[in-house]
Amino acid sequence: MKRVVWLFVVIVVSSSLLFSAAQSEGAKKEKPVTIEFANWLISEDNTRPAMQAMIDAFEAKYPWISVEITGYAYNSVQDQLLIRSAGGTPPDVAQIAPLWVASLADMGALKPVNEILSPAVMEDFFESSTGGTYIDGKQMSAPWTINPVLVFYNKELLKKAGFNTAPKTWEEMHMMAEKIAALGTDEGGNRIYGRSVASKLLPGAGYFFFVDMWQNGGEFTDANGRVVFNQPGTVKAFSEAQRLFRSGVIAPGLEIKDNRNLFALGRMGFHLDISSMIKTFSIMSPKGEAFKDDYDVMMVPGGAGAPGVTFSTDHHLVAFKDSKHPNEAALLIDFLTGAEGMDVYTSNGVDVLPGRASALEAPYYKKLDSMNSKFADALPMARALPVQSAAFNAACEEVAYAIQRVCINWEDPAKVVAEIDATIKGLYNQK
Amino acid sequence: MFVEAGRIRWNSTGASKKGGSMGQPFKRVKWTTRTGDLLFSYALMAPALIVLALVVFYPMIKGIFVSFCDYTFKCLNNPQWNSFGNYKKIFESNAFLHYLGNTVLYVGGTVTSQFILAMVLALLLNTDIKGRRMFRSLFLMSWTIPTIVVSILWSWLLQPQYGLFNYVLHSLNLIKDPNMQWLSNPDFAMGGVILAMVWKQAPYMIIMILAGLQAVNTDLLDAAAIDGASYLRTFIHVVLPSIAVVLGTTVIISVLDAFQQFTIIFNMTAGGPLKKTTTLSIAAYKEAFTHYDLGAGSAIGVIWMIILSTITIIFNVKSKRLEE
Repeated sequence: MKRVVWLFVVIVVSSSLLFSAAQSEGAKKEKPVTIEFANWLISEDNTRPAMQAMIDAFEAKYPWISVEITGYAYNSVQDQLLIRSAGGTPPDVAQIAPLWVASLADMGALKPVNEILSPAVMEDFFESSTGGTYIDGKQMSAPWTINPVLVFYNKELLKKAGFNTAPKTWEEMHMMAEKIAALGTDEGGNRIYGRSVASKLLPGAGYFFFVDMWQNGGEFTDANGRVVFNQPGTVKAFSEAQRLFRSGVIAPGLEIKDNRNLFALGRMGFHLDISSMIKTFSIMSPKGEAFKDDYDVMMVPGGAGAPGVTFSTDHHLVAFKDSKHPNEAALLIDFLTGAEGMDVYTSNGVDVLPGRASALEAPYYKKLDSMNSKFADALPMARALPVQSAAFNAACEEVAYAIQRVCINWEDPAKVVAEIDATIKGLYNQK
Repeated sequence: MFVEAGRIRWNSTGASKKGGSMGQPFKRVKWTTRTGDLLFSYALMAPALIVLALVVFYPMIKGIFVSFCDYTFKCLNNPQWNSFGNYKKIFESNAFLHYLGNTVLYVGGTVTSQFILAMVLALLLNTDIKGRRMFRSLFLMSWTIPTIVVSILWSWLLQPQYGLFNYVLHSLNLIKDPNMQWLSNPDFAMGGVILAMVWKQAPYMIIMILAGLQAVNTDLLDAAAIDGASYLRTFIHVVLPSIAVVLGTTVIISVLDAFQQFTIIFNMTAGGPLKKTTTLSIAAYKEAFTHYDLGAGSAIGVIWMIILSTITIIFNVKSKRLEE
């Protein structure tokens, strides 16, 4: 009888435990969490399927979390996030360009990602890409995809100019660019240019010129964030650019997309750009896919015997301070930047490089072609742009203005650099 | 209160001799059907007025307010009065006058070119030329194209390396350099953006002037013809005075439109080269969204608004006199 009683007690206790466990699980399921993820990938035709697939995979992994996707056009993302943050209704997570991080951080709208992601995840990010948005001892954004800028060069034009190998140094690249420009015109009578430098009055033209500055030993800010634009290296870079513009090696007044067009038309020797251009050049070129045989990619060659220095134009993820679900936001950021997310991303036909070292384990990165491999190799080396200040955008436009003054108005580079340095220091309140 | 011919007036006899508690005479309101109609009409307008107040007047007043404040992303919800700091900032350098000069040049160039072109074409379309209807439709086409498309289209046309403009001019031996710089040349850039704007906006002026021409009293034209007046004399002394009000309205709308133009300039030159095409609209945008100084951007906007309001008021006074 005693045994029966004990058996009965055991059955009752076990059942109640099982029931309560099932009930708590049921409660978890009854309280699903919805987080909002604002991004521009969902608004663009070529990335929309990948975006949706990534969210589907995330929701399958974390069934209690639903992700509401809000799409914005790239050009309006910053405005939308600023307005929504000011109104106290930001999304939980957003895709962002590092250039915009400082303005949101200034508002106090962001939740530092180092406060919601584990130390292991934080250490996994490429240090080269986190530096730009490390503000006041806090990591404000998480690198999602990294786009190092490398040099595309037209092998056919090099051959015509008498060169069979790519340049080894920055100076050699310019020497070759001059020889290419000296070819004059192509078969159709169209003018050929040696290399590209964007010179439209836009911030993009300014920060692309950092590559010229760095190869000549110039710097924009020092380790303490102080503006050090006025240096001999910077003056040298502007003097060199002035000479190349004056001799017709570089076409004046072009923006980045114009230079892309000229390269795709086979009318430019060297052009600095990101990896997604590999696909785009095949679409833009009259030769189509066959144009890939005409060009190759290389790391930015170093100047004066130093190793080459380049930068990356990344896409980051941010979490917002007003988010009611910071843990779920962290799970989404971890998933998207990790190997699983990047696997879904790349298997949907989008060529992107990850912001985390462990994500390189995704199958796509094991079978990269030679050109894309060079971009992957540059991941740990590419510098993040020094975007810690909201004044960076305006400063870059001043650099673009300096290019116009030196290379269109033929002003003295030393004088222009000194004046622009003073203007930028004013923008940074460092007078 | 009485309502008479749509106007409300107080009925003096309606004032009570007893007086109110504050010693003020009571005003007896005589409720009439007209009063009811008037209130009803206000009630009908109210939703539109409320929406207008929310989307026009509130942002305008807020814009004026923040133009006197430190207003950046650091203090977006807490603008701080800065003792005219934004106005001092924009007037301290000569940049503002430079941008104003650019704006005047752009507006003057655009409206003058548009006016001459539109007048000639409207006069032609007002005659019995063959295919008049087809030409009218054709001339309208550029007006229907979105401004952003116009700016991209003209950027491509004027592109030095593969633009059609250089190809045609070089083929006709009108230019020596087949890669002639237009938008990146400080001397030609303003001309380039004016050209795009004229192409886009001239059809509007053509339609307006054409409508005016078709409304000219034919009796006056017949009388001038009987008097033996030449075409030019008829045009100057009969046609122009008849369409003066239409011309005035059209020109002022075009001036306001050109003053506010942003899309074409920003997309074609971004205010360059050497800030030669930086107009007030571009400067305000760059202060607010490149320098992130919303206060200074608003200050430029306020000065810009004062200029436009002054132009509009002067025009309204002048056109009223003209009508009388």
